[in-house]
Amino acid sequence: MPSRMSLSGNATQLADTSRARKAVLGRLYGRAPLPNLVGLDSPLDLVFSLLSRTVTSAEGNTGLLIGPRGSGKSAVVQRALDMLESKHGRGAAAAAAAATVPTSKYHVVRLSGFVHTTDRIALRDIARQLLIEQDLENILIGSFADAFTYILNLLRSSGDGSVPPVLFILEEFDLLAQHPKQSLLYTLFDIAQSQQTPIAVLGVTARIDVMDLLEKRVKSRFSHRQIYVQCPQKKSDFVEIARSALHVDASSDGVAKTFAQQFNAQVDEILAAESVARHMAHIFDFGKDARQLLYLFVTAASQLSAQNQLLQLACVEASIAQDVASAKMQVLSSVSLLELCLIISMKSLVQGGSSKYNFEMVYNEYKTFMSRHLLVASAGGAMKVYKKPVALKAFETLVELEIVRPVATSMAADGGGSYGRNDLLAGSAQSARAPKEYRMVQLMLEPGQVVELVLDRVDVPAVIRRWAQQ
Amino acid sequence: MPPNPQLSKIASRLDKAAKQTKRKQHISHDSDDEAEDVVEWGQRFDDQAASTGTAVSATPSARRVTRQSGMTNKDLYKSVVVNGTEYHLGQAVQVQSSNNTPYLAIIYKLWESEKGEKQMVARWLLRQSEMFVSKKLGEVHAEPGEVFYSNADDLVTPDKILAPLEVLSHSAYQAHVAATPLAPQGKKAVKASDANVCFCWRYFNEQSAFIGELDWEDIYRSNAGKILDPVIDAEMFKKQEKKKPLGKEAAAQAGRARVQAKRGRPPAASATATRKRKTGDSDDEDADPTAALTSDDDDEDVKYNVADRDDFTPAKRGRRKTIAAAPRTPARARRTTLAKGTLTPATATKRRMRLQDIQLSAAVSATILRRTTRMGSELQAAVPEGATVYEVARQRLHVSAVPDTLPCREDEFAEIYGHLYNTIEERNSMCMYISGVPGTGKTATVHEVIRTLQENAEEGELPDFQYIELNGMKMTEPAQAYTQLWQAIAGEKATPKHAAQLLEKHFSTPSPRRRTYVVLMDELDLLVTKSQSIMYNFFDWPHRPHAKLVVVAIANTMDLPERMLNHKVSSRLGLTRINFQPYSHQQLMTIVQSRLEGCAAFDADAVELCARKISAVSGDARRALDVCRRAVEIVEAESARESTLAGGKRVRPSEDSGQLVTMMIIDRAVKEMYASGNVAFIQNASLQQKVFLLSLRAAIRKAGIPEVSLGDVAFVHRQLCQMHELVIPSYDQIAKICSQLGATRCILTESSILDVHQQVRLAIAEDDITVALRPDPFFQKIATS
Repeated sequence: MPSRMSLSGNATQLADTSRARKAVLGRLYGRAPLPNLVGLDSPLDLVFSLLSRTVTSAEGNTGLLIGPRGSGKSAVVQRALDMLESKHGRGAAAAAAAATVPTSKYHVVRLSGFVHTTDRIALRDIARQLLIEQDLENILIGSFADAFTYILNLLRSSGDGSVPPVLFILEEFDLLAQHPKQSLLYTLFDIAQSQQTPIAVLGVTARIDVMDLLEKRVKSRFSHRQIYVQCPQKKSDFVEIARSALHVDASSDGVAKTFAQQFNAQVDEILAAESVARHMAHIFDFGKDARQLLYLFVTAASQLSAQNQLLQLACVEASIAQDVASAKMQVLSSVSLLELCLIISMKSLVQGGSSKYNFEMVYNEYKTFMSRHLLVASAGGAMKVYKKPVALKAFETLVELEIVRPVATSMAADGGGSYGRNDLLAGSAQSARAPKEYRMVQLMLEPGQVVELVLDRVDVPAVIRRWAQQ
Repeated sequence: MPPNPQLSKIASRLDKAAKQTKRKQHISHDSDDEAEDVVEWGQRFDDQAASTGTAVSATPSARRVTRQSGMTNKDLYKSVVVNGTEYHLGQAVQVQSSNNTPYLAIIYKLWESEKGEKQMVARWLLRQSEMFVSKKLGEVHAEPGEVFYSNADDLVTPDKILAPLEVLSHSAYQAHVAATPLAPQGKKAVKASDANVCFCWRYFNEQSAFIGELDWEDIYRSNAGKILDPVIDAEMFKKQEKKKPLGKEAAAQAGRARVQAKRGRPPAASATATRKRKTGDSDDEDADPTAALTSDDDDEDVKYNVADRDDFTPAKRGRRKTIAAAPRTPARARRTTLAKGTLTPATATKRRMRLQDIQLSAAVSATILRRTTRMGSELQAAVPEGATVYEVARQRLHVSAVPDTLPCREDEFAEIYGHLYNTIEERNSMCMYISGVPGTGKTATVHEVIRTLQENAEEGELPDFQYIELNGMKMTEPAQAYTQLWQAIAGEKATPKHAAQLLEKHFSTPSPRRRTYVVLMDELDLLVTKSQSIMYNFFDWPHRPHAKLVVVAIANTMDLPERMLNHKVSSRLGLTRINFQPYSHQQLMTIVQSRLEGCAAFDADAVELCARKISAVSGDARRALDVCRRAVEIVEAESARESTLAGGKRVRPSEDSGQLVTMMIIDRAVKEMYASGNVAFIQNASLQQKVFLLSLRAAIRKAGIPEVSLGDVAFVHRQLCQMHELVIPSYDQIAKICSQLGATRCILTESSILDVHQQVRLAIAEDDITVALRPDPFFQKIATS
């Protein structure tokens, strides 16, 4: 590439590359915010005004930020907080003090439903984030509300008598709402609607039915301010997100201007490339997930080096190929012929109307097929009926691959329980009683997928191929 | 000023509270009459004195105790023998207490109940540490060994008596101390003698928290050392001692009249009588009727009026003695003539009730008026200089700006206030259950009542009480209610189990150092346990004779007692139930308008629309305020935008004349809050997600059951894509779409480890899909195919 030739060998150029790599990767991984949010202006306005009113006029506010995964909820919150920081933050505090604004100081507390699985953990973390270095063991004995009031009092006594505004950002709000009694939310909302302490509570969640999770008295205390974050409406906006993440800026990312220009030109070129554009349209059609889009460029960005100072189209295309490929099919492309036969016999069992089956049934099916065909086509050569122990071994391999899974007894009962353990092998208490040949299993493939699988392979005898397509 | 409509409204609503009083008065009159029958001997009780003494007085508090014990036919005795020592009526004794220092009391009454239990009414002699003096009086200085004679009575069993106690006058006590051989060294010696001897020269009126002086030798010794003179007693503890004038003339008058009415004014009492009293005239009706009934004197009682109550000095001693000795027959005669001469009892009661109603409501409304004006000024003060009309409106509409008086809850306020006032005044116990959907002002109203009562107590109108708030939501487990209550009462921590025992003991033993506890149990339904023992206990304690406990329970559901509680619990909860109806649209309008007074940010119609919309859904005041606040925000943002535009063009520099909140904007705010995100979500979903939803709907329709497996949906999905020339997604991609939709709970899925076998169902209405996809011609085609 001509540009690379002209750039190589220059130390400052190398530094530029590593800086660009760092900046771009940071944005792709979500460590650093994107320089501009595409199509999220209205939720950003709402969130910012909500938070800033708590900081400036000390009123309690509550709100919910709802949007599907990858639509930019956290980005909106982060941007709003950054704007707040630049307006009222530490730097502005000195200036604001002169302008007689006493509430220029504020605290931000972030909680996440994934991390703070109980109210107690949440409380401990609130205290930590509010920089209260005190032995909390004593107060943690009491209820959440008591301990929380205690923390706020500490905050009050440490300041000038009034509690500085506290902004609570509750990520994965739906999980926090599933705590018993919802006392965390009740307490926060109750304080937000009382006068003494100005706090803002902003829940962030992907669930559109989150309001139904709130208990009625918690709901009544919530202000019903729901802010919806939507995925980009247009394909061009979607591409714009990738562009803003990949472009480097001479001033903010600290790279040379000429390098930035070259780099950005290359980015535009890649984004305009036919294969990349098609795949981006594909992602847009499927999920509109910005995160999935950005991860596409991670490999390319991480390979930036002295040799590759700009993003490589080939790298992007490779990761596109990976993205398209189905993991399951790749695993199955290397199973042995016997295993494939077992899969096909399971498929024919399914088509025969039985939704679950055990090894004996599968082997029986396999045997009847083989005996029927071996009589007809002796020219098959390598075709041979394997003995039962051998077939069982192959069957167990399939179980290990989790292509075949034991049927859980209470499958529909608790639609989300852990089926992680593979009890056919582990011999868990539940199904340990039956010998493993007789434990009921299911094939994790649809008949259509089995056909695809067989057709993809070249080494399958014609007989079997025909059998699969029946 | 709108006091008159308000006043009459409140007056008409006070019937319930008044009825309660009425009932009590009937009962008390009954027991009054019977109190004069004295029957003789009991098994272990020796009536040794000649049975001439009918000196059983009936002050209000004594009557109450009698009533509480449920006795009608009781046998009265003159003395009792405990452990070989004989104690007479009127003798001072030491009574067993929960700690080492015994309580001091005077035996006030002895009798045997119907069940044969021996009972005694003890009148407490209070040490300084045992008194709850209101702040008004400031610090009371008492010397060691001093006790205060009080009108606090309690039911005690005689076996609690430990030893006799000698009560002297101040001078006699000093003489006694001097005479004691150990005395010269001073204080230590005094303390040694402290246990059995003490002195008294002051009395303490618990109801009014008033301290006055008395001459112990005169009222005690001079009366044969047996019992206190009922006349002096009754007079001493009349409730007229309030020297401090109330803030408003009307309130003062009404407050006094209320007290009067509650004590059972004779029928002839009227508004004029009240007015006369105020001016300090010595009025014929002025004397406490109970004193008139029981003190057995004729003309002299007329002179016991407000005027000379405060100077209760030895100078008047002589006359008092004659009163006590006066013949008793004429009093009864006079009473009967009085009753007959004016009105029949029934109409008399009715009239009295009406009188009370008006005056009580006058007091309440005066308080309310005072409060609203104060609230208005507070609000004005809180608004910073130079704030725009929107900022003012926003601030006032915030839910946290709870006014001191809730508009549209006058009814409930008056009812709760009436119940609590009566109970606290009579040092009684009760349970109350308040229900109502969230956001109807239950807790705020109770808080307001408590605030008012606390003010009353500070003014000395009511006995001091302690307010304790428990919130079911703010406890880690229901049993913590015990711990919190015990901590509030005794100031010490205990485990729930231990606290329950302590409380049990606390509420079932008599004690002089007992003020009324008002316990608010918020979010009651969270305190329901399997055995319901917590609620059982909390509702049972008020029924103990010594408890002086008022339990106010608040919950969301009206029928909680029937639905969730055992009969034994709901029976103890009693019938005092108050339901807070959801606000009607007029009420919501009043609430919003009262907050917006003097702040022209709203169109009149806009407020009404908001009120109507909210009342149609929930009647939750918080919602109405939130909607209005949001509407103000919208307008604010718009006018800011406009002004920046205008500022650029330099057309309209001022935005003071800015827009009002109109109906359109309210409508927008309501929609924003109540709109379900479903339709918008589907419209915003990606192409394949929409196809998936349609396939799921088709698969469900085909299967006829609400749940289908992902494999079936995927099959339909691929078919649809094929038919309409879309990219045919692989099974993996479909599973991914499924989990994306599952994360938003647009559909419900099982664990994705089940892959194609997981069951999928729609979590949104099918109609939502139809509505959302109707505008899109492409999906219209798919849906119809």
